[in-house]
Amino acid sequence: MTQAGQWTRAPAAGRLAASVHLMVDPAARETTMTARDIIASSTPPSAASRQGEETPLHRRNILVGFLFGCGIVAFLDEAVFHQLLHWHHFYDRSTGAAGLVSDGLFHAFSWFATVASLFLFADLRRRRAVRTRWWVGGILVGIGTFQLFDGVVHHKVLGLHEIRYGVDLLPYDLVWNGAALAFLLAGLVVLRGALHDHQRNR
Amino acid sequence: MSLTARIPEAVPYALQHHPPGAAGPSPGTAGDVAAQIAVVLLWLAVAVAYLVAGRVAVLRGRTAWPVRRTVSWLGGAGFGLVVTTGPVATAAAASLTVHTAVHLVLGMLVPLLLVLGAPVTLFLRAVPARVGRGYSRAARARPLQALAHPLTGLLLTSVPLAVLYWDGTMLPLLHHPVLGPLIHVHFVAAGTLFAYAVVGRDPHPRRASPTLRGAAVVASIAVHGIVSKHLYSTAGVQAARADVEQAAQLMYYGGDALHVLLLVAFCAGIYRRTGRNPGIPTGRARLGGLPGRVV
Repeated sequence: MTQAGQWTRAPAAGRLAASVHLMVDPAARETTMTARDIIASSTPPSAASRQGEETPLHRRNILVGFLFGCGIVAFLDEAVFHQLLHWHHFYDRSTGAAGLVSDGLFHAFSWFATVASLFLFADLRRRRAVRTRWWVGGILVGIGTFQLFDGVVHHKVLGLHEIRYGVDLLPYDLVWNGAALAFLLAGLVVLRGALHDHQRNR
Repeated sequence: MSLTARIPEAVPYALQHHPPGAAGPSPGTAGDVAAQIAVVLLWLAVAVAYLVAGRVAVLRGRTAWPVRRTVSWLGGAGFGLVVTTGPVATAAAASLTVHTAVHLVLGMLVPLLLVLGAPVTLFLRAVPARVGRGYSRAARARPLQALAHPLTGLLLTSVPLAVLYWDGTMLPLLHHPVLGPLIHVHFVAAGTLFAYAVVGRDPHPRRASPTLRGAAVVASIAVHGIVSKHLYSTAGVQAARADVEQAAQLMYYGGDALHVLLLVAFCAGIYRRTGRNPGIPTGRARLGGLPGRVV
């Protein structure tokens, strides 16, 4: 029996209280403890403690997906636009120090996120806590956020490099940032659907 | 050549090596051959010492030693040998790109492989308990603890890297007859210290938190990226522009490739450790625990 199975056997009131508090207001540690106490009062102690661990792992699917999304979009950017198309320049020599540092840090973060998110996913599998919809939603939000940041802050604010050189940039910028927004919205829709189902099934 | 000597920018990188009238061995002389033999013997000693320690440990009854550790250590010594002698060393003297490849191997790949060989664990298995306790006491000393901190390793690897490759003006140092080889030694030593602090499999008197070690790895990747792009940006004013541009890109992408190995080692270490922790309920924990090796 998986942990998810144990979840569904818990009394309805406690489950709903716990899920609503944790999903709507992740920062509400005090309420979480109260919700957990409600469950603890109506279920055996061992099951209650496992349920206490279950919900943060549940939410972690979004974070793991988000990190993977950031990593994968940075990797594709590097592979497709820098290496295959040669649209982006490695460095176009017009960048200030802030752009260089920001680019370096974000590159390092995305590289770290790629590897770490895969290990975190393996950890979720090991704990039988993978929730595919939350994870996929997280990936889409991660892709959208990172691409939007790249398109707005790196390309425009810091002027690190452009999408392509020697062409009218407007269509490229619109497609780039439009795609980013589409990914972001798709991710939010997936997450919203997952949350709805999650609450209905409780 | 003095420490502060600046080669005029018109002199290509290849000519900066063995400039006319410079002190030190030049190819083919007796001194050069002796230096090459010394380097070969050094790497062989590194490999043989590990094998001897493994044999001693077996004779002392500690027979279970994962073969991947031996492979890792010998691989580290082998890569070190290949890039510091023979044709690669000769090519590195003439081309900054080849030199960068050598530096990547010496500063990142060799240290990681050596550290994954768990030499301290092997040493502790090979020596009597009394000596091992003496080592543990010595390793707990404050200065050594500070040295084994991830931030120390980060500074010792990143600062010389940034100084040396920032804008190309320090590159002539690499051809200094004494400082050149010393820089290589420093990169191996500092890289090993950093790898030990962030992904070391060996016992550590006070291992830093995963967050701090992860941040140190991220900072190390960022420094690599920033320095290589800045070097690339200054290539326009360098003599051998194509060479410098290529070297900078190799530093960037090669550094990424090798940093992935460091990241995988880092994450795999945490993954295995958290799986072993009985306090965290895992899927298989209730079925009798995850398979995991202790030491």
